[in-house]
Order: sequence, then C-alpha cells, then structure tokens
Amino acid sequence: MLTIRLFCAAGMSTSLLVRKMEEAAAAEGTEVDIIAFPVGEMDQHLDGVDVALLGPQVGYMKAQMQKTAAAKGVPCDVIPMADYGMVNGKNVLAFAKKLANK
Amino acid sequence: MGDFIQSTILPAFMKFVNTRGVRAIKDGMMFSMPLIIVGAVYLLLFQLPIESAANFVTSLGIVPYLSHGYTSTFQMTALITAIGVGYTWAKNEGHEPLSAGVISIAVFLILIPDYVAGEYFDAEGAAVTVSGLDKTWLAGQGMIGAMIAGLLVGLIYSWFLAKDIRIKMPEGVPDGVAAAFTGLIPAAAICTCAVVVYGLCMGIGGVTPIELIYKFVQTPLQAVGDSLPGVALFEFLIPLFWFFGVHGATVVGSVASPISQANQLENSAIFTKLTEQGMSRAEAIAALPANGGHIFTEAFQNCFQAITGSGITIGLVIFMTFFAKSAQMKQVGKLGLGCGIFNINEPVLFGTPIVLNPKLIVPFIAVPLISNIGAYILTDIGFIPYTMGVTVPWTTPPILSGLIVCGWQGALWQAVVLVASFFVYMPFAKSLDNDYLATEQGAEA
Repeated sequence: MLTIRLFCAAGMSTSLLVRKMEEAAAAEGTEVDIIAFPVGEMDQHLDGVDVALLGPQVGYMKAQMQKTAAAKGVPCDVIPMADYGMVNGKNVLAFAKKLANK
Repeated sequence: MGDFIQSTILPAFMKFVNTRGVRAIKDGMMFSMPLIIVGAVYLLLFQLPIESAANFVTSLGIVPYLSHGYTSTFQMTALITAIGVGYTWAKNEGHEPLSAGVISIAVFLILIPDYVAGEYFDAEGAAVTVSGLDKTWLAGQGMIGAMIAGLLVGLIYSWFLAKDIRIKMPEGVPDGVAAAFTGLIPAAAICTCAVVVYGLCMGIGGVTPIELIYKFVQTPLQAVGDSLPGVALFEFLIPLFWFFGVHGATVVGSVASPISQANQLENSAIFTKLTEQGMSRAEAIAALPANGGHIFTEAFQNCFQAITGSGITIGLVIFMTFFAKSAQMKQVGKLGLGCGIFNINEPVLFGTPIVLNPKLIVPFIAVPLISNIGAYILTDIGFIPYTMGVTVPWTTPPILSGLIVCGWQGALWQAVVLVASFFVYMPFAKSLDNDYLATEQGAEA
C-alpha cells in the first residue's frame, strides 16, 4: 500500500490528478491511498504517509514544505509541470514511487 | 530579462510571501470564509432582487431572523480574522495555537471602543437598558486592526513560548492541566500591553487604537486598492506570477484580499444602514457610491478576476477542444473544459502550457485586464451596480456568479468577456497549434 498526499493551493485542481493516479495504479495493480489537501494544512496530513507531492503552482514553497515533511520523515517534492498539466497519472505515480522508494 | 525576473525579483517576492506575517494573514483569513458565504446567503434571501419574491419573504415574517443570522456571521468577520491570524501564526511556529487565537480576540476587543450602552423596548413596551459591542468595528472597518492584533499576538506569543517563558507545572500534573497554564504568562503580558496602548491613545488623544488604525492604515490602503490603477495592477500581477509557474491569485491575494474583503464588508454595512433607514434594495444599491461604497470588493473579484481560471482561459480551452489540430492541444482542451466552468484551469496553465510560454503571455495578461478594467469603468459610470455584500464561492460558474452578485448587467459583462477571451486568445493559440502540429508530424515521419 502506497500512501500519497498531494498538496496545492486549495486542494481542488489536484483532485483531478488524484483520480487519474488511482486509475493508473489500478491498471498496474498497485494498491494506493491518495488524497489532495491545501498546502496550508500539510502538517496535519503527514502521519503514516509514504510521500508528499506539491503542485507546481505552490513549488515556491518547496524548501519550507520539505522541512515540514522531513520532520515527519516523509519525502516531498514538486510534481513536474508537464505531467501535472497533462494530468498524467501514470508518470506522477511513477514519480511518487521513486520518491517513496517503494 | 526572464532570467533576471526568475533569479532576482521572484525569489525576493517569494521571500515576502513566505514571511511569517503574510502566511498568517493569507491562511488566517480563510477561517472567516464559510461565515461570509453563509451570511451572504441570508443577506440575499432577505434582500431578494425580485420585488414579488422579496415581498413574499417579508410576508413570511422571517426577515428579522435572517437578518440576525447575517449579523452574527457576516458582520463578525474582523473578530474571526483576529483569531485566525493569531492562531495560524502560532501554528506555523509549532506552538499550541488555540491560546494564541483566544488572546488575539481579547486584544482586538481591547483595541476597539469600550462597551456601548443603549436601550430597546421589550414586548410590553418597557425600556430595557443594555450594553454591547459597537458593531461598527466587528467587520469591515475593523479588518486591518484585527489583522494587526492577530499578527502582534502571534509574534509575541510565539516569542514567549520559544523562550520557554511559561508557568511550569511540577511533574505528575496531568498534561491537560499544564497546557491550560501555557498561555497564562503570554496572555497576561500581551493583554496588559494592549490595555496600556488603549489607555495611552484614549488618555492623550481621546481616540481608540482601532480608530487610529482605521484612519491612518486601512483607509489609505482601501483608497489605493479601490482605484482603477490599483485594480489594474492586481490584475496584471496575477497572470504575471502564473507565467513563472507561481500561484498568482494566492500571492497577490495576500495583499489584495484584506483590502477587497474590508471593502465588501463596508459596502454591506452601508447597504444595511441605508435599508434600515427605509430605502428599498435598489435605492440602497444606487446610493452606495454616494455613501462611501467601494467598487473593488471580494464579490467583484470573484465575478471578474479569474472566471474560468486565472487568465480567463475559456476562449483558449474552446479553441483547443473544438478547433485545434494538434493532439497536445486537443488533449489539454478536453482536460480543461470541465474544470474551467468552475474557474479552475491548472491543467491548461501547465499542460498547454501557459507557464513559461512566451507565445501566450499577451492574451493571458490582456483578457483579465479587459475584464477588470471594463467592469470597473462600467461600475463607475453606473451600468453595473455596486456589490452590496452578496457574494459567491469563487468556484461558482461565470454568468451565474454575475447574476447573483450584480444582476443581469454583471452577467452580461461576463458574457462579453467570455466571448472576447476566445477572439483574443485565438490568433496566439492558432500559431502555437501549428507549431505543435509540425512537431507531431515531424515525430511521425
């Protein structure tokens, strides 16, 4: 089971990506638990999480958010713009897996 | 030039946006959002734009109750903001946040005028003397003061806790009991400071601190934000930030939202006062400009700023979905159509892409400017009515949002903007489409 949390400004635009990632995971038989949240609430949503991904539009907060995530031992990085924009669930899932080392 | 902006200007601005104060304002203001929306629905219900419907609601006798609900939600925004900002600051610093929120509300109340006395007549007609808070300061006029209170409390409270200056309980005292004392020393110090400030202002100038803040900080800010150049600057900056891949609405909003929210609450207070003096809904709205009403409100922003997403990209999406020849554009168009209706367009921004793509920067900046400058001027000359407090969530589809917030005139202007979006984006999108097509055909061959 791979637990992924996505964070963007309001948690809305990223929810589209969540669905595509779930589809991609189902297609390749990976069990996932993916939810999107506003980046301001990140600290409340890190327990038991394998990897935290930031939408590129909040990428400017990367350093700070990586610190928050590191405090809970969660790897955190910014989703590549092109994958985010094309809502490429497969690529983002692969990106998450690589980060989580699973 | 691009390098200079990315390596110098942007990091400097990001540093500002990521400062503790700006983050506390940005996130702290979110707490009042549900109450503003709920209150706006009550306001809409007891001030319906259609006369027969309004008469029906009045005949039901529920107007006073709706009005009470509205006053207790919408008109408490400054109080909530003080709590939210203080809370968020402490939370971001990793301290127990609720105490900071609680102290913030006390400090805000200390800064505003003392309890005012008044009387009303009970059911038997007997006069009852009561004292209460002056509502004037609990919403629009108190907004900036509330933020300042929240910021200072957050700062000082976090300083005390970081220095570990607190009452320490001996071992064996339950955590809950010990936590209750965490806020005691900061609360005592901060509230006493606020009382001293209040005492000095009253003793020397005979004026409350909140009135000074209102006069010397909030009013000038509102004047700048409510001017045509101010509005145009905000609207220019949002797409500019997005061009660099940064969430422009969030960044610009950290400066613009306090102003637009204060403006909106003030409009609403003026509107309510005018209707209480016997004016009808339409008369009161028409009288807003003469009574100190503002054009640039949060509802105005929700109607004209980022409809169909930042950059008002619906025209681009329509072009991509129905007219583009390249696979890339068709794909992004399909992704963007559904969420565009609800004013979300990240797939378009990053997928087309618009971000870091000089080919689309011109329409991306031009369309929101057309929308907002046009709406500002049309409001100024009296075609679009001033907003009077009724607002909608920012995800409300355009036309509908315009209709609810500023009547058919607002909806009409939105419709014009949506059509304009198509024609302004089209030539630029066409050229990009040709590029993609050439690349795609090259790859196939």
